[in-house]
Amino acid sequence: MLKKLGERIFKFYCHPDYQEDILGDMEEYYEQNCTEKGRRRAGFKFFIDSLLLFRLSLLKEKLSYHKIIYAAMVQNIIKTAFRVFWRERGYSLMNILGLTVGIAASMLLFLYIQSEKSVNQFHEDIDQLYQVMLRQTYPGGVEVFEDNPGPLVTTFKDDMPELESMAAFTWPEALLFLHDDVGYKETGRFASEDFLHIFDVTFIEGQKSNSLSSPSEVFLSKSLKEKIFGADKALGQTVEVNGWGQFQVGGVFEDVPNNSTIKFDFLLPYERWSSLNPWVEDWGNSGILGIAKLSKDTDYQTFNNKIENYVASKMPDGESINSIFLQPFKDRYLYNRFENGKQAGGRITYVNMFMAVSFFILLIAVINFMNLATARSAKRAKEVGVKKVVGSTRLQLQFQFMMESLILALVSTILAGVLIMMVIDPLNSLVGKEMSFSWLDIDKSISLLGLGAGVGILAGIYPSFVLSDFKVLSVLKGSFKNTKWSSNLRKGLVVFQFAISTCLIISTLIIRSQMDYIMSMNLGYEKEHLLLLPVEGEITDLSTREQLKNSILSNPSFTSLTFSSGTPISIESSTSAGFSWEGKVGEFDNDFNIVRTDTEFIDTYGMEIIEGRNFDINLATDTMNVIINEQTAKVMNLEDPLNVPIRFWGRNGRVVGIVKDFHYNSVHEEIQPMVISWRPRYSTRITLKMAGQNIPESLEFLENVITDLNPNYPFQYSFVNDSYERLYKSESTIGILTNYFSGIAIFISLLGLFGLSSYAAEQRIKEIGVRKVLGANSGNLIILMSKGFLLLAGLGFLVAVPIGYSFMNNWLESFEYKIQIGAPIFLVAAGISLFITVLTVSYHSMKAAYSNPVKNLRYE
Amino acid sequence: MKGTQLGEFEELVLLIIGVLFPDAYGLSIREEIIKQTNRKVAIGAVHSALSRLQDKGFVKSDLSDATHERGGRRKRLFSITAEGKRALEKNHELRNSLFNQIPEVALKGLNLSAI
Repeated sequence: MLKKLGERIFKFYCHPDYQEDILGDMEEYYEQNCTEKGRRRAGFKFFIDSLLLFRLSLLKEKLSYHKIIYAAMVQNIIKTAFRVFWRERGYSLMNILGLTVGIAASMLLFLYIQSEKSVNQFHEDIDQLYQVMLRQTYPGGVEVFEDNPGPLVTTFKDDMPELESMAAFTWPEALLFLHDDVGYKETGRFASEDFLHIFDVTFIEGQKSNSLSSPSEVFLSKSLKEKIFGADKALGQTVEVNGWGQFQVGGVFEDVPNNSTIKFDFLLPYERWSSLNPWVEDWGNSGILGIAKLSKDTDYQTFNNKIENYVASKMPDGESINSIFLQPFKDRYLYNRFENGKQAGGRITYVNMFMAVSFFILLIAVINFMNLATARSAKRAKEVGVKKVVGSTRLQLQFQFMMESLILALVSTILAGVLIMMVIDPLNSLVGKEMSFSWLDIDKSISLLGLGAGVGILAGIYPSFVLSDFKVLSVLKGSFKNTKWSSNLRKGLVVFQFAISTCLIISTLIIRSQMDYIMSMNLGYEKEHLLLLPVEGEITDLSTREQLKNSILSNPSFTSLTFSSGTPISIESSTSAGFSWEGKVGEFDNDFNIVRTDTEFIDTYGMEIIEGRNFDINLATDTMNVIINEQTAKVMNLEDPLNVPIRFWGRNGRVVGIVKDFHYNSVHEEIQPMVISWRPRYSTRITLKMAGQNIPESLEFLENVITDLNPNYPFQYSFVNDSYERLYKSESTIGILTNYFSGIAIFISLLGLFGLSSYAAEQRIKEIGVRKVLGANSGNLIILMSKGFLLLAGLGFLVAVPIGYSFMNNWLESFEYKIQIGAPIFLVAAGISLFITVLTVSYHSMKAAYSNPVKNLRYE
Repeated sequence: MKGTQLGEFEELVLLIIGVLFPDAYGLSIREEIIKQTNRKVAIGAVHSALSRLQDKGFVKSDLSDATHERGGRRKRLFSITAEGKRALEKNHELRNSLFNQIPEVALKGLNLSAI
């Protein structure tokens, strides 16, 4: 690429007599470098050399004919440019500052977008990879899941010749690894044989070819292997996994890169998991994730049509609410939202949003440059006039002003690079990414320079046309004035800048209040002071649990404790097949969520029973009964659902209570029907309610109790409110980014305003002097000076309101529970934008208003 | 006249052309300069010096036959002309005579490696 470009540039300017042998030399040099330093470096060197060969003695005659004049002219332009920058250093500084911040901000956003787009793209055959998705059709709508029926693993590939391979894998699970009496709790997945032929990882030890086929082999990531075995070779060694006996290490692979959505630190054969979860082998259930590789010439849309009834065809009655389809794996991350079974954007919305923001930030900086340049053009008028008289053509003048803007842009770009390097690490930790920037990274520095050059050209075009257009006679006679048209255009651009900034202010405010709303909304349970522990190892035993419960509750720091199969943060879901009630009309298909727990669940989470009662620990029959939420009561469609006989998963009982709806999972979704059943055996989580004092001591106490009972497992806990915040990680990242970048946009547009107001004050200094002499007071003068700018800011606000409203309304649509966009938000936004405008403009107005009129009028 | 003066870098290139005879062409000259003097030299610098030398008439050049290397492009082989030889000699003599005119006292006691 670079080599071709270099060759073309060289051929453009080099004298034909020299071309052949010099190109030959360069070719030879390139080949030498290829073998010594690699193709990329060699190509880069070739390109640089092709630029350095631009020497007077080697130029084409056509170019070198004017060479002396051109060289002198370019020299003169550069000299003039630096003199002008220096003479008006305040403005130059403002321009450079604005451009630097603007370029740095949009480059950072660009890097962010790039890293979002790079997710999952590291697979070599990414174009052939597809994730198998499941569509469930209910009377009330269509939902899309990643889970698939288990038998797919074996049948799908045999039935469909279009598939090159198909692998199943599970959701991540945390398992205990035991080696030399040291336990490690690690997260990984179970995967079927073909998985590693589809998913690209490099093996450090062992062979990829026959991986995951033996039932007692485990595959470890490099970092996990180093944790367990240190620097030793791990291949062939054994490690105990989760109390299932010894597993042989079948291979070690490079850590899964951070930009993969499918992460794992170990892989175990799928058969182990399916034998523990036999329910998954039913075509009606779904619980595995699937990834498929289609042959090259298969069109996935056509293939999707073909497999639409695949699951149904496997059912005895030929009907199913489930149907599977493939989504291109390369789109899986960015296009992750489905609405009513149809693809409905997802993260791509944010990517596009940031693309727009980065473009607008640059535009604001460019507009600053244009406005300042044209506003101050009168100062350059004489120079232009004289140059024209001496014989400068218009093109040459345009070239001059273009060069000036390019030089400024170049300086700003270099500073922007420095700025980026300074802020990229803090930014990374804010948004949880691993972006990097360095001038040595050729791709990135070239794109930054390209960005800078683009900005320079964009900023330079308009001023260069305006400035080179001056009429010689009027300029030299001294009757030159800025045209009405150009000052109107300037005003228009300021309005535009304000519209963008205000739009961003509005968005920031709305995102922030929505986030506040989510974090503080009444969820129907209390999320403070709740601690979560996993149920694992010895604690799975029921009598140990009793012991644990008693010893924990003996400490007054803990007020209650419950065992449950899910928590409001993540809940089990099931189809309705298992739940029926007396008076149920017809087949009812709806998604039911299930909590299997003990008698303490409701109280620990502080939920409210609105009818009936909680499970009674003294009533053994309550294990047959269930508590439902309001949604379920609604779905059951009975006059009084309380005490209605029901059947749930093999037990006949009654509805003993109705719990007030509480939010679980994410508030993007509506609250679904839920059934709470007293079956603590299947618990996966312990929730502890703490009194809220002495938290460090209580944790220490807890650690002692747990490690006493469960010595092999490392002590791990989490807080419910932390987990709740994690549910909204992507929203809060977006919140943070819009916060900062709208701040930057506002800062840059204020810089421009500051420059313009100082220019306006300078222009009217005599007028103000005269007014003062005639008796105007300072207050009047400040209002007079600021009025115009406030009007522009106001206009900008009016433009921003409808745009901001419709855009953010769109964003809020993705939340089932959301704030109303009301007048207060717009009032606050207007207040902010007017306030900062006044603040910015008033500096120069005040300076002008308080200055001594004698000084300003002395020379008249 | 300025045109017939030999610049320092030009003189170096001219000398190297002599050293490499008959295989002196752009890239080999550059490599030899780097090898002998440890200077960093860009291809462009060598070629512009060569074209200046040719303008001044100190070197002449012929294109070699094409080979499969270098993308089938011919090399331009340089050799010193009589005028080039005279210019070199003149510089050499000038330098020698100036060096010989330095009084011995001026160099006395100086560490050789410091020169």
